[in-house]
Amino acid sequence: MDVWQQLTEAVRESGVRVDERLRLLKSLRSEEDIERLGDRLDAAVARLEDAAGQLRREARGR
Amino acid sequence: MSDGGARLRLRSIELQRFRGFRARTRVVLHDGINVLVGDNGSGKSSVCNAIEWCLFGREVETKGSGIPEYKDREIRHRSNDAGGMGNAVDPMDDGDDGHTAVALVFAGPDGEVTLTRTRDADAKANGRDDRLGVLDATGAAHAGVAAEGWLAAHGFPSWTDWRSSYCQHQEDARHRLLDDHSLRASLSALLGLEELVDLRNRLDAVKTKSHVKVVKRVEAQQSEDLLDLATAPGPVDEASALCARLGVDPQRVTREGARGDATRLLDSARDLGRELGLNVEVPESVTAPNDLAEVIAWAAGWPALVRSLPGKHSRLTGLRKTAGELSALILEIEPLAQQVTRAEEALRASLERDGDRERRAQALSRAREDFNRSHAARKAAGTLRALLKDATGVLNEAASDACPVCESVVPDLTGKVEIRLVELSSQVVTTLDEACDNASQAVQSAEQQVTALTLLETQLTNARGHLESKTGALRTRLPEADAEAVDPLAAARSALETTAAEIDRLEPLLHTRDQGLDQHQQDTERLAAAARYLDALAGQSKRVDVITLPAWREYQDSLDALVSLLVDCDSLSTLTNDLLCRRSEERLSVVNRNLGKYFSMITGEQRAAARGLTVKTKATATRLSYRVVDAHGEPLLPILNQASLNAIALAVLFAQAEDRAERGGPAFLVLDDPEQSLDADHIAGLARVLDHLTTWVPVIVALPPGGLETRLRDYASGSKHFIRLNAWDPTTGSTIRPAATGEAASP
Repeated sequence: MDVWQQLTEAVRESGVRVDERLRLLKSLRSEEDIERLGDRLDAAVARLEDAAGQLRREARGR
Repeated sequence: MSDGGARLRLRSIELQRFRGFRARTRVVLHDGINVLVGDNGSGKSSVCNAIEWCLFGREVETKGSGIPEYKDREIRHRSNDAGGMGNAVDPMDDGDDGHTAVALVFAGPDGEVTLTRTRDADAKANGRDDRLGVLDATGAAHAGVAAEGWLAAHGFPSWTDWRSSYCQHQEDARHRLLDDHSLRASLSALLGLEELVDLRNRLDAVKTKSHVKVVKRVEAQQSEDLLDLATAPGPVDEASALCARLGVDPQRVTREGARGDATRLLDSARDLGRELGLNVEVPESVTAPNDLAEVIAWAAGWPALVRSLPGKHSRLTGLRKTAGELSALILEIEPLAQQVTRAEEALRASLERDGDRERRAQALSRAREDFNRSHAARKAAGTLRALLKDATGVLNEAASDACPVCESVVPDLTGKVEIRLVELSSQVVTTLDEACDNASQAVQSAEQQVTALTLLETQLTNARGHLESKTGALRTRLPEADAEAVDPLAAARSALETTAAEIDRLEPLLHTRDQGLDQHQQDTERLAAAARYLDALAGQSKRVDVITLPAWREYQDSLDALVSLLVDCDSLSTLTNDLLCRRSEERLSVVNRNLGKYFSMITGEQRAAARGLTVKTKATATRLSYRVVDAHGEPLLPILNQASLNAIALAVLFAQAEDRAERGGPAFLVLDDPEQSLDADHIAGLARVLDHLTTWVPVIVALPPGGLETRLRDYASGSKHFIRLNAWDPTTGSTIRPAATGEAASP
């Protein structure tokens, strides 16, 4: 059994966010995928900062 | 694991258009040691790569056989000739489509099993993948995923097993074990743990601290906002405080009352407008004050509108300006008029006293005539004096005291005459000088009177000129009816009085306007405060917490998404590290069983300490480190030379291969130039080990001529077969030399 199968089993056994973590695991099999994950994290950070800014503006606008 | 797999033995390798090999080539293998002998570049390593590529395909290229410089290495032979390639049943069968193919033929108890991997000539251009096929002992063909399944079911190795237990490339031996980092990398590779280490490193790389910091910073900011919102006074509180500040009792504020206030506010605005004579009306939309906001908005702009429109009150500004100008001119003209009067009086007095210009001119003329006469007399006196002097001279010449008239002798007569003549002439001269001086003074006095008259006349003219200039300016500011008044100053005084009276009349109106507007502004502010209070009361039931703001959902979703992603990365990192530690322990338990044995065999070091060689691990949450120790637990790396370190690397492979062979599956071991960096003693030891290995596993070893090859040929006791490769030829590529007699002999 190769490492990817073992990790897949380990994720399934963890029982937490199994589908998401399996998708993430699948997206880690090449350097290009890793770059995409980095971009995804950066985009998530940017989205969070935008949303937080908007929320602040709305909260203060009240 | 399949029982059948345990009995599979690699019997031949067939390759075509694979790297240096152009023509279809078959390498026959036997039990025992199969030695591929060739110079550098002859293609012996390509045979080893062919086995690997057939089993793992594109994975070998993307992972570079675990060796960085092998990554993306060209598999296909770069030639244009079209060689025969096969069909589904026999991929090696000749054809003319130019594809690359490798076939591994295994012998099993039930017959032959053939693995083939083919790549089309235009696979890269068309993005087509390799084709894997299995033709099993029953004659059944399996392709693609089914073929991969068949391999897994029959105990064929995974990539990590392959790297740890089946194959060691020459570059693996170059790994240096001298420091902690390279030891980790080398042992990870030797134990087949590279993928896990890579994965963990990737996860560590993406789980950057900056992302965690962003989450913490944003959450902290958000908490601050929530706190602000929780402690901030509500709209009702704020409006109530505003009402109290403006003297409005919030308890008595009602919407009806506010409407009444709005009506009164509009009425008073209209009244004020009428009083000021303004031609402005309250718009229809405002006059029905159902919408307080509209009334408040209009009322807020009303004072500015009133101040900007012309009305009764706006005349005041012009009147004040006129009064100011008249006052200033009057103040200037009054002293000028007095100055003219004074000049006139002075002139009149002068005329009365000294006569007019003609009279003064006559007096001057007379004075000048007197002076001339006096002056002539004076000149005559001069002549007389000269005559007397001459007479004196005559007397002296006569020198006689006798009187020339009576001829009587008078003592000192000439002297006495001379004295008398001098006295007389002096008296005459003195008298005439005085008369002349008096005449001169009279001339001067007459001249002064003429000059004084001219000066008085000039002063009067100038004073009148100034007065006229200012009077002209005054006339322009007088009412039209008074513009030609005989006495403009009097008219100006009268106009100033009239203007002042008008100002006095209008000033209360301005005061009324300002007072009215101030009151209006205060009433407007109070009405606005009341309206705000009413709105706040009305909106209180709709007051929202931050979590009901539209942006809250997006914020929470994005926070959840980022946190989840980071948590997932962290979780996978932990799982990977756990698996890495577990597998490392598993592999080392296998390795350590026989590591010392193989190390001693290669190095010839038979002491207990060497035979007790083991690898220890130390795991943390994020790192796995290794130590190589002897039987006494002492670290060995610092005292070993590079040859011994390479011996450890080979011993790790052999220990795992032995274990792998015991567990079944296809049995063979591939070594690509293992003698690299070994000294003569170690080469001899390696030959002993290979001889020993053949008792339970066939070995395929690629070697340059001499060295280990000679050792194996001359000293190995087991079955040995030598496959010699010709030097690479640009026309034919890599080729196998036909076997010479006795070359593949068994003992």
